[in-house]
Amino acid sequence: MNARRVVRPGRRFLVHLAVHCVLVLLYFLPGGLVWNRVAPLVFHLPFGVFVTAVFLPAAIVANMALYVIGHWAEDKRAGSATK
Amino acid sequence: MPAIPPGYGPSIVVLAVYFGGVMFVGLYAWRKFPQSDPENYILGGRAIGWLVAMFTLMATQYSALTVLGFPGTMYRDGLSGYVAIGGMYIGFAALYWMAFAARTWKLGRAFGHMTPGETFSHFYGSAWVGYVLGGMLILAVVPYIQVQILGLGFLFQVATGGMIDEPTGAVLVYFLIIVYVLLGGMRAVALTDTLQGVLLVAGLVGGALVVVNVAGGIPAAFSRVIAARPEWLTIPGPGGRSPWPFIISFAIPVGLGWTMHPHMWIRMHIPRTVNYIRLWPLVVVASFPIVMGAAFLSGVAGQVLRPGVTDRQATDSMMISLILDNFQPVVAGLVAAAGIAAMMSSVSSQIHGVGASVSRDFLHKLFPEHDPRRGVLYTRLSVLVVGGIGLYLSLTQPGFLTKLGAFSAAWGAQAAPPAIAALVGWRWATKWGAIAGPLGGTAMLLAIGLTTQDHRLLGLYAGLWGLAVNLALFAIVSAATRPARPDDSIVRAYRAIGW
Repeated sequence: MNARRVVRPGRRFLVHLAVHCVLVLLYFLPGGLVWNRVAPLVFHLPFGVFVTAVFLPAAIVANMALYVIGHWAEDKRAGSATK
Repeated sequence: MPAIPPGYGPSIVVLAVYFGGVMFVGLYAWRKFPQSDPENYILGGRAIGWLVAMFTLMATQYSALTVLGFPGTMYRDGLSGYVAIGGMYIGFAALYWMAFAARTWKLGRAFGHMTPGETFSHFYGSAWVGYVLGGMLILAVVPYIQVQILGLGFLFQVATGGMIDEPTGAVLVYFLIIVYVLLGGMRAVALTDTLQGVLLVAGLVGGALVVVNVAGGIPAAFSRVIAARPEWLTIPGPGGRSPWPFIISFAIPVGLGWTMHPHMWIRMHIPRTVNYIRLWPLVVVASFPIVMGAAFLSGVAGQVLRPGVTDRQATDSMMISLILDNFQPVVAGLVAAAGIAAMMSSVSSQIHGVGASVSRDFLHKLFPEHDPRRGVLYTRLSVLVVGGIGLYLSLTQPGFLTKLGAFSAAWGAQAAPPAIAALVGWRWATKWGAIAGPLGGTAMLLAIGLTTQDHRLLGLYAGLWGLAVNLALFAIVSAATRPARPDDSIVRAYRAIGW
């Protein structure tokens, strides 16, 4: 480890972090203004329930999974996985 | 010996097999893995594999609240309760871990940190920062341990059909926890968490599915709630109790505070590679819809089968009482056993984490030891004392501490500003700011939380007010005490650690 060199967050990390923040915003305002209603039913679920319990969590999981997979490859290339 | 109540034989057998399995796994960890130094006892030698690391995280974070608290919150508040809890877990806790879990892991490897207090002391160059913040985090978790033990006793009584009463059940289960935590340390806690994690997911999801089935199945249950109480399925919820500003002001401090607790922080150091710690936020967001979806479904079933209940205790135990009313006792016993698993996994992790903090943040600094075996002895003694205090408090049930338990996570969040400043390596943050901010934030949190009925001021949750005061004090005091900034070489080392 070079104790003098500042290591800044990589582009991949920042992009996935930004996507997560946007999805969380959609979970709250202003997204809530759009999904905060009962109709229409989607897969028998009220619209708001579908968005908050299925759709947005799935999008958040997908973003997080892409982040993890991308970083795994990066850590493997850099040989920094265990130090 | 009291007679087994009719119909409860199978659930008592399941409980006995489960306790035997937990004890076997705990003893296996004790015999199989070395416990000769604090790093092995507290962190499992920083060599835990991905599967066990993920299960210990999941089982630790789903606790008494998951089985007894959250289904009740969702019954009372509907979708707004779900969104508040969702925002806290998959929004802010996941965001924090995504940003800082790998960095915390790397700092631990580079500098030997185990507890949050050690990171604070090291970065700010002051043992006092570690004493104050480490002590604050310990105080934030102890009342929560007490609340969990109360839940353990209740579920034990349900699972045995009243054959064993609440206090006796709590003591029995607690004794079991103390034995395997004392002997096997982190390895025992993590391995038993894996067993408990499987049981808790199966029990909670299974329990929710059977009660929603009694309510006519998922589509019919939702149709009936839409017809009877459509406001339950939108925000701000019944009676307009949870408007957006409150939900957001709740999710931010509670989500952040969760991540600061010693037992959660310690877990960031246990995986063998940094790849495993990057999985952490993924596990949180992936398990949430399953576990909390189950809690939400039991709230829906409760609204259909037993609408209009307002008593807090009755709503908290809604899922269990619905099962008791509609199925053979064995079903309730199995779900209660899953609840016991959820609580045991959290309590064991909390006692171990808080014990480790007492040992590393206080005893190790006040009475430096050179023999690693003495370090393990300190930690085991701390675990025993913390465990004893938790049990004593739960049996005597002081109301004031139960009240404090409600603020456990928001209180933990008061450590977040100095923690983030340290992890990022901000040179402007000083030790005096790191002490003043969290103390001021805690005072604000408790002032609002303990003096208002709904823990709100101007519609915002007390935790966010605490965080606002904390941030302001942290910035102002840091600016006013520039000579006390962290050492330049430390700042550079932290900035070079990588993401």
